[in-house]
Amino acid sequence: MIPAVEISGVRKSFGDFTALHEIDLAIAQQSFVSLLGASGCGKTTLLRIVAGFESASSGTVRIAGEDITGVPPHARPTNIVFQRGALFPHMSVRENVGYSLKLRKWPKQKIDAQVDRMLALVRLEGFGDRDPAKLSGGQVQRVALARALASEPRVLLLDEPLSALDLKLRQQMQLELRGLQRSLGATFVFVTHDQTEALVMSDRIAIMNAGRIVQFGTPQEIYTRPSSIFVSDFIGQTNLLPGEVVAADAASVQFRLRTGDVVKAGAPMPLAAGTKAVLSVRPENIRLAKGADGGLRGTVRESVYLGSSVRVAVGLDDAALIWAELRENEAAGLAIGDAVAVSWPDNGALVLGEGST
Amino acid sequence: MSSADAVASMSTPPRSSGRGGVPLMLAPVGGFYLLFFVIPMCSLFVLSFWRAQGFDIVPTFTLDSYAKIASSPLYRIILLRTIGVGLVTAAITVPIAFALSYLMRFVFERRAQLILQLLLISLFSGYLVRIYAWRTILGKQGLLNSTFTWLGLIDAPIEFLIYSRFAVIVTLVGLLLPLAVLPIYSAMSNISRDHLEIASDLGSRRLYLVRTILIPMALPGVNTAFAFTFLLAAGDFVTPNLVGGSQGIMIGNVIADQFRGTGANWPLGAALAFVTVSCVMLIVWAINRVIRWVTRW
Repeated sequence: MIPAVEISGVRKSFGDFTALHEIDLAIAQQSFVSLLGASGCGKTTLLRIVAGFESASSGTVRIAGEDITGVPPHARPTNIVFQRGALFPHMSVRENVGYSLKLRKWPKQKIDAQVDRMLALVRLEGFGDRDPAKLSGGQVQRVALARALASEPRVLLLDEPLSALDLKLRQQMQLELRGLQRSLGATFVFVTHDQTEALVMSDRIAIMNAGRIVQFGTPQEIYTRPSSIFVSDFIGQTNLLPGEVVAADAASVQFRLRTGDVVKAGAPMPLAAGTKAVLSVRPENIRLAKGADGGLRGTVRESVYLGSSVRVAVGLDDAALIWAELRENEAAGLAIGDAVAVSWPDNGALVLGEGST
Repeated sequence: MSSADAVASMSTPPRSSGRGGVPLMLAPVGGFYLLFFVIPMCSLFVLSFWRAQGFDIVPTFTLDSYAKIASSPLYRIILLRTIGVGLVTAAITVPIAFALSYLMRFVFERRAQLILQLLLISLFSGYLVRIYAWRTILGKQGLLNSTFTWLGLIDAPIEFLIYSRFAVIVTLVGLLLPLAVLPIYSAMSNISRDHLEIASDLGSRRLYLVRTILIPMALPGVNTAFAFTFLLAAGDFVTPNLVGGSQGIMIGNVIADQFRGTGANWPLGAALAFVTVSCVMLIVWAINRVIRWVTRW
């Protein structure tokens, strides 16, 4: 199937600063894709290039196979939703939603029917005659969404549309957005700096860093098989322990930590023996056992009660701190100062090369 | 001129939110307004029904002054000319001010403060000084004529540059432009780039965007700017005096003449002023309607 959006070799520079380096990205039709990264990573610039607000310094953008690189925003089959709805204050909610239809000269009855359908979709039936100034933040974003969807764009672009909302509302809207995308069978491209948001909503996530896409995959792939130290650190929380590869075969490596212990771990990329690298272990994979046998030796330094879990910090022999996330019963009996053995299942740790960004 | 109340009524945004304490807070403004606008206007209004007898003014009730205005084609011609000059001035000034505000708001954002300061300096640099400055530009041996002559574009100075209606309009546009920019620019600061981008993203081309988003959102400012320029241009009598020549005479000159010199006739002057104010207010209201209709959504 032809991708909904196909970005090839897109580069963008502002003077000496390169915002995007040769981006290639294909977004499948009817999928929900997030561009995830810290501020300044180029994710918004990339979205704005797809929307047509910025022009790429080089490269092409195709929508449903059609090259739209030089096409102005008003003629593109994409619509965008911004962080702050930017509703037109001199129009009612209904007029806002119908704006794109009226300028396409739809007959009035058709516009009314479509606007009603869109308002129902975002669960704002009966709000049509409201003044945008009298809506709450969540309602504003819903109207902005309805307005962007009204003309049935091939691709909906969302530039951090939930960031200005409070947490509860944001979580609720995340699920609504996801449901909306599924029921419409539309293609959504969502820009966010919030990894949880990206994990909750996306079919696939493109992680961006310094103007590059560093990994593109499903949330599960990205979480369990990060391709680089950056990704593993950026998505979720992880313990990063430096060391050296001792031996490697196709599936796994033997890795020597600074404490001298040698552990077995997976490696997403082939690493030669002798390579300096970093071991990444998620806190929830770590097991602690009282006593000194059956793992790395450590001492409990800190214990934080989080309600659903307990976070325990363990100091290793080389003074590195490692965090474990335990269920309450697993953490019972562990006190600060206790000697513990730290271990994890073989598939619970990954060795990532220093060179990979 | 009574620009103040026209402005006050129009600069209220279309959708205002009611707040309880506002009437009380407006009391000082109301007091000022009463003292310096309503009371003088009322006394002028009363005066317009009195009669001038020689050098005296007799308190009575007569419509003589109004009858004189109605029966004299001269007053009608000058009044129409005045309104014409006012409309043309506003019709030139407001679009320029709109374009300038747009540039300041969305194109030269970083230079906007500097441009604003320059406009304010020009605004406060003295009314007469600025009119004389225009005289040196437009005069027979003025900047334009001498430049054109030097370039060999013309053999003799262009006559209509000075002492003409053209000169009056050019000078008034120059005088009033800074004043028109202020309300429009201030109204435009409520429009964000997001609004413009969303509109174009939804399919709006440039002109459609100006008509459906930019003007309606800046409408309070546009109306205020229009009222400022039209009222001040139509009410001006110094500019026609200095650069207008004989065919540039405006109603303000005629009214001013009724209040001084040997031919003074205060009741007639008051009546003329009232007729002028009424016509001008009616036009401001009508234009306001027209702009609203053209940019309706």
